[in-house]
Amino acid sequence: MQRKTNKQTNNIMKMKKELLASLTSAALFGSVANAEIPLTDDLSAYGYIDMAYTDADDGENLEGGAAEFELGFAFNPVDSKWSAVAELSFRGTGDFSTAGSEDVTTDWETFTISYAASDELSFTLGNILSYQGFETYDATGLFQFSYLGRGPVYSAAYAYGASADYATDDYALGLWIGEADDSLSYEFLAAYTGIEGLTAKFIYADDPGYETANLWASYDVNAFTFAIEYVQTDFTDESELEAYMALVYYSLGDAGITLRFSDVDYDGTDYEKFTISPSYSFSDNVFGLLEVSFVEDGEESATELAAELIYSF
Amino acid sequence: MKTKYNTHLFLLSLCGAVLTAAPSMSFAEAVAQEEFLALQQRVEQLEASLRFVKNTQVEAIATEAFASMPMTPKDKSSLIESVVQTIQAREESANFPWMDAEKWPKLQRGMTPEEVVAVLDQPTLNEPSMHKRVDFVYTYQGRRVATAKKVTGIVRFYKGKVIEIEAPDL
Repeated sequence: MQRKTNKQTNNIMKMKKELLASLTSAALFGSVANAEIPLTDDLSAYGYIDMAYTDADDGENLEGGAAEFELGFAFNPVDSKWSAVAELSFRGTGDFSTAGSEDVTTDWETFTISYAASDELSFTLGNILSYQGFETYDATGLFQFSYLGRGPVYSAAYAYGASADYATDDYALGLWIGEADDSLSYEFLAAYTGIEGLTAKFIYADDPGYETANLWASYDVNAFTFAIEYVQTDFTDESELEAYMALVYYSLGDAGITLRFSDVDYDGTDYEKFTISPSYSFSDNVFGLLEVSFVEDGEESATELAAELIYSF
Repeated sequence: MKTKYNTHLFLLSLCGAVLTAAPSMSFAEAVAQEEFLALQQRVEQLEASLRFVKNTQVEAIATEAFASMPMTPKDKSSLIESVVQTIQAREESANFPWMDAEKWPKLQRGMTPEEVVAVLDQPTLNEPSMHKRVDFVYTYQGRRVATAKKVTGIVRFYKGKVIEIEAPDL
């Protein structure tokens, strides 16, 4: 089974990363947060509601509403090396004029059983998120609303398989192995976090349908976060994708502003986007933003607008 | 802890004695008087042990309460009030160790989650934050035993280090 590619982006979102890190006792970057609502000593629930509206000056109608509701359960006995996570995602199709129950799709996202062999080494089996991407899969980890490309720039998202992850405070290594078209599909991660504020990752994916190299780095200094990313994918149908992204986020306490430039070349078609997105954290659970993006898509140009409000629990 | 252990030991022994005795009840005729007397003696011994444990506990609490009583007659509150306060303090210390006001000033920016837990114990809630410069939040929340006043303390982390501390109003 080929890994899903119908998602805009595939990074390990902050919330999930921390949760999984805690569950496996093998935090990639030393994070130890876990789930939010303890149901029992061993079981907890978490999730978020994402409301978003978008518009553009290219004739598209106002779209949006309840963009996504995600609910996750984490089973993590304190004295056990075993843990499990199950996440259910309800997504709206985004058609504001006809929003209703028929427009909702339901997907399993993370669906895993993990074994923590030590504080550094863990093994996971199930539906696992790809290592690829600076931009997170879920909206909770993004600095802005939209993704850097018109379509997916990462070649993988969730897929069934098994992974082995080794993480220390300074570096992390990961290997995911799955199956696609009766052949092996795998991803390899190398991450470096040995300098305070710096995160650098290299991901290589080899699948019967594609071969991807993804490199990104982010650096926090004072109130600034700087990030750069490069993605290069060769598909078996001989099409190619190459993407660059640069991002600056400036924090003003609870408020912040993101500037992002991206350039994606897919089979000779150029797509450029410049995004400005002011945001505000109303609390640790509520986050809102506005966004305006200036897009050059081949010979056409457009201005895209978005407003988003996320509540996490 | 020792008190709880002794109490549990007593209850377990009592259960054991009852379970041991239960099958014999259906064959009451077959129970020798010696066995019955031995069991009765054992129960009495256990009850005596429990009384001793309780007395020791009360004595310890009373001693602590006397030590904390005001010295001037004018300010002296009742002995009962003092004992109640001591018991409440013990209960609070056992259930909400982070409600000790002396612990919060020990927290500093840059501490790891493990260091925070070593000072305050486990948080009531441990949540990821939507704030871009906060990764996760430890929330310590509960009601004071004596006043039922709800108090909340918050510790925020970014990149594995404490970046913000909101001490509870204790």
